[in-house]
Amino acid sequence: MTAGTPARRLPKHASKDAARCSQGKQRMIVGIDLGTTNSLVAAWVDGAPRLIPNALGSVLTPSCVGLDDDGSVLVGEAARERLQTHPFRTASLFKRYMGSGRTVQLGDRDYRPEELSSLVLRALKADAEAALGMTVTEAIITVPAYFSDAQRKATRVAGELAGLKVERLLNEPTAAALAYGLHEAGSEIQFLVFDLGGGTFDVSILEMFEGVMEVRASAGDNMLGGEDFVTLIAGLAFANGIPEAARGDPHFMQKLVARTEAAKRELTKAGSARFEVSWKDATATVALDNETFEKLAEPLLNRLWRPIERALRDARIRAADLDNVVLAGGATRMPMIRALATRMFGRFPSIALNPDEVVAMGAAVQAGLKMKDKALDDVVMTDVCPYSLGTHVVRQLENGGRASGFYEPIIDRNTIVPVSRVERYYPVDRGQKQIRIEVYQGESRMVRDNILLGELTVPLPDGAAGQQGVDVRFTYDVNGLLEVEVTVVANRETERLVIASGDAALSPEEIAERLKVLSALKVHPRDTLENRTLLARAERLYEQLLGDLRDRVGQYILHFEHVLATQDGRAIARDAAAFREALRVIEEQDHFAPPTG
Amino acid sequence: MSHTNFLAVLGVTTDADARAIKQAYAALLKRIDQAADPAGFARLREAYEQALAFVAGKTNSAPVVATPTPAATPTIATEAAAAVAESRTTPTPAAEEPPPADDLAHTLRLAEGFALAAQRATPEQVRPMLDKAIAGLRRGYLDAAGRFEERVIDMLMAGAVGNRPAIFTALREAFHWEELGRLAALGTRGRWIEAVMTQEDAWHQVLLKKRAPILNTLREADAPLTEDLMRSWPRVRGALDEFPQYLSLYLHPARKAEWRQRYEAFDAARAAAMPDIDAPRSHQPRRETPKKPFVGFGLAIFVLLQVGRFLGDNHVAPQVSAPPAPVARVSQPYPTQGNRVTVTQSPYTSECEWVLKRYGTTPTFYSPPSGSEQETLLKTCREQWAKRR
Repeated sequence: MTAGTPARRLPKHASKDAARCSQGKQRMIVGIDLGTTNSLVAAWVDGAPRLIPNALGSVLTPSCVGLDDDGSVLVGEAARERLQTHPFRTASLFKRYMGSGRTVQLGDRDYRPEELSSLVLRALKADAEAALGMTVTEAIITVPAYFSDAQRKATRVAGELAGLKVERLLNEPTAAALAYGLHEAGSEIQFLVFDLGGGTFDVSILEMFEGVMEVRASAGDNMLGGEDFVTLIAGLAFANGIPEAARGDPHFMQKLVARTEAAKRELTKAGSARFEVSWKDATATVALDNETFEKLAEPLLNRLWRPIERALRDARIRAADLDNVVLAGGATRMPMIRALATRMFGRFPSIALNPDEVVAMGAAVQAGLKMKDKALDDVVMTDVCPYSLGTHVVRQLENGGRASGFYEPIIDRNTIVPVSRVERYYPVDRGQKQIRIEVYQGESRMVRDNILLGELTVPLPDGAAGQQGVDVRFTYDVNGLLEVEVTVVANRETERLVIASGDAALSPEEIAERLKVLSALKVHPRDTLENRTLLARAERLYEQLLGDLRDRVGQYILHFEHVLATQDGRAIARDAAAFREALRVIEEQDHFAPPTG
Repeated sequence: MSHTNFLAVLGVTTDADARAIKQAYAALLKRIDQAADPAGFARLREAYEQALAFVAGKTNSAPVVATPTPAATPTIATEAAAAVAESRTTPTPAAEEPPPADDLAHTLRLAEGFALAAQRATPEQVRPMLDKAIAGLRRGYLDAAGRFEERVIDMLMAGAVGNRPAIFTALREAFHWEELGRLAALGTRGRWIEAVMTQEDAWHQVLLKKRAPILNTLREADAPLTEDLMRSWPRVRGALDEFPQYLSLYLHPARKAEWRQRYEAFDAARAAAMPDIDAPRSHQPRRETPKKPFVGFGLAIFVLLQVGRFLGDNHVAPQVSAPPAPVARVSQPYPTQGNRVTVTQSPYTSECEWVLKRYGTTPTFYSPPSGSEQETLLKTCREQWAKRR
C-alpha cells in the first residue's frame, strides 16, 4: 500500500482499542465492497476508514463459495482453491448473474446468485465481528453504478439473507470518490473515477466544493471487467491446440482459468508470460507479452470509450477540464489500462489510493457519514441516477395520425437523487376501459431498444371521467431503487407497481424461506479456516502437478492431515507455516516452467 | 419558485454571486438527511439550481460552474514523479511515455481525410472506413473523437463532401445519434441533425413511387446541370422546400440555388417570349406543380392506414375491456415540428435496394472530384470551420 493512505489495517484479531472505542457507540455500520472477483469489508474506526482482514489475514476475500466434503460451506480463498478440484461443488463470478433467475448447482441444491452472495457477506460479517469485538447487523454495500433495479434489489436481498440490514446501496465509483475526496479534503476540483472491476466497468464525474462531493454524471457497462481479459487469454489455449470439446470439461476449464489468472498477474509484473496446459493428449503452449495482449484486447478496450464519452458529455465538460483521474478496481492495475487512461486523458491517473481497496474504504466513509461521525461533519455527498427511466407513449402527430412505440423519459439520466417526478398521461381512445403503463429503463428513442422493467394496468372510470387520464409518479431513492405509482385523476385511486419481471425477484415469503434454509447450512468454523485453505490449495496443486512434485505434495497433505488430527495447537501452527512455505516454493516453480515430464 | 423564493430558501440576497450560493447550498445540504427527507432535499436542490441559473443570467457571462481553478493544478511533472514512484513496484508504460498532447490539427486532418475518402466509397464501405478512423483516434486523446465528429458534421452541413447520405448514416450509427440527449450536447450541429432525421422519417412516409424519381433527379443534378435537368426544377421544388435539410444531403445547397436561379431566368425568358398569352405571370416564377400534392397524398394514405390499423386493433378492445390501447399523451405533441412518425425499417435500406434494382450495380452518388477540386473543397471547409469558431 502506498504511504499516506488513511487506512490502517486492523490487526488480525480484535484489538482492545478498537473494541473499547466501539463499545461506547450505539451501533456499528460496516462498509462492504461485494465484488465479482474479491470482496472486502471496512469500518469507520477512530475517525478513519479501516480495512478488516479475514481469518487468513488478507483484506481481499475471493468471492467464491463452495461446499466442503463434509457438506459445510467454505467461503473465500479455500473455495477458490477448490474451483479446480471440485468444480461441481464450488461457485464463482456469481455477481454477474445478480438479478437474473439463473442459478448455480452446488452439491444437490440450486443456489441463486443472491444466496451465494449472502454467504460471502456472512463470512465478511464474521470477520468484522471478530475484528471489532461486537455484533454487526448493519452494512453499506457497494454496487456498480450501472447496476439495474433488479440487480440492486438482489443485492439488498443478499444482505438480508446474511442477516445484515442494508443501510444503503452505494455506487462503487461514488464510494471510490468518497475515499479519494477525503484524501484531497479542502480542495475544489473536478475529477473522474475510472472503475474497472472484475466484472463491471463504471465511470463517474464528480465536482467537489465546500466539502460537498457532487456526482455530476455516471455511465457504465455491466458486462465488462477484468474477468473478460482472463477469458481472452484462456481463449488462446484453444487457438493453440486444445480442442473445443475441452470447454465442456469443468475440471480442465478451472485449471485453465487458474493458469490464465496467474499469467495475467505475471504480465502485469514482468511484461510477459508463458504457460502450458494439456487436455487428454493435446497440449497448448501460450506465450504472450503486453504488446500482443493489448492487440488481442482491443475490442474490450474499445468498449471503455463509450461510457466515458457519455459521462463527459452529460457533465458538459471536456477531458481537458478534469483536474484528476482516479483509478479504482483491480483490473486498472493492468499496464495497458493505465497506459490507455494516460493517453485518453492526456495526463497520468492518480494512484494515491490502492485501486483494490478504494471502494471498500469509501463504503466505510459512507458508514461513518451514516453514523453521523463528528470527523465527517463537514462532508456531504450527492449522487445521480445513471440511466433514464420512462414509459411507453403513443404520439399524436401534427397531421392527426398516431404512432406508438415511443419512449418518454420521466426521470432523465444523471438527475440528482433522491428524485420524484410526476407526469400526466391520457387514454388514446374515448371509452377506453383501462390504461397500461409500461416502465422502461434506457436511452433509446424507441421503447423496443430499451429494457422493460415492469408494467401495470389500471382500470379507468367510464365516460368523461376516464378521459382525465392518470398521473404517473416515478420515485428514485438514494439507493437507486425505483418506485412507480399510478393515480387515476378522476377518483384518486392509486396503484403501486411492484417491479418484478418473471422469476427474477424473490417475494418476501421466499426470502424468509430461503433465510431458514441458509441458516441451517453449516459454515466452516472460522478459526480452522486457514488450515482448511492450505489443504485445499495443496489438493489443487496435487491435481495440477505431475511426477516428483506431485508425489511430494501428496506426502505433505498426508503429513499435515496427521498433524491436524493430533489437535496440538502449537504443533499445527508450526507445521502450517512450513507447509505454506513449501507450497509457495512449489507453486512458483511450477507456474511458468511447467514440468515437461 | 419565484426568484425571491429560491434566494430565501438558500438564505442569500439578490447580489450573491455563484460562490456565495455554493457556500450557502453546501451549508444547508450538510443539515439535511437526503434519505429521510427527500422533499426537503428536492426543495433545496431546486432552489440551488435556480439560483445558479439566476446568477448566470444576471452576469450573462460564461460558465455557471464558477469553480476557480485551483492555484496549483497538479502539474504533469508532479504526477509523473508520483507515477515513477509507483513504477518501482509495477512497471507501467505510463511512466515511460509522456501523456500525448491534444493534437487538434491531426484530428481535423483525419476527419477531412475520412470524409474525402468516403465520398468515393459505396454506402456499405463507409461504415467500416469510419470505424477504422475512430479506432485510430481511440489510441489517443479522449476529446479527439468528439472533435472528429464535429468536423465531419460541419463538412456535411457545408456540403463540402459528396456521398453525404451514406456518411450521415454511418455517423448516425457510429456516434449513437439516436440516443436520448445525445444531440442536445452537439448544439447547433445537433439541431441540424435532428432536423435531418425528422425530415427523413417524414420523407420515408412518402410513397416510394413518388420519392424515388425525385431522389434520382437530385442525384443527377449533383453533377453539372444540363439544360434538360434544369427544366425539371418544378418537379423537385416542392420536395426541396418541404425537406430542405434532409434533401441537402443529396443536392448541394449551392447547386440548389443555382438550379432555382437558372430555372427562374429560363421561366422569365419564356414568359417574355410569349407576353400576350401569359402576361400576368411574367413577374413571378410559374408554379407548374402545386406545392405538395404528392406528399399530401402519401401522408393521407399513411394516415388512412394508421387509422385503419387503430380501428382494427380497437374495434373490439374497448367493449370487452381486453388489454387496452397504449398510452397517449395528447397534451404534448413531439417537441420537434414536422410529421414525425415511426420508422419501421432502417432508413436507407429501401433507398439502396431500390437503386440497386434499378441500375443493377452499386450506385455512385457523387462523381469524385479531381485533385484541384478536392483542394478547393478542403479550403472551403476550413474557411467554414474558421468562421464557426
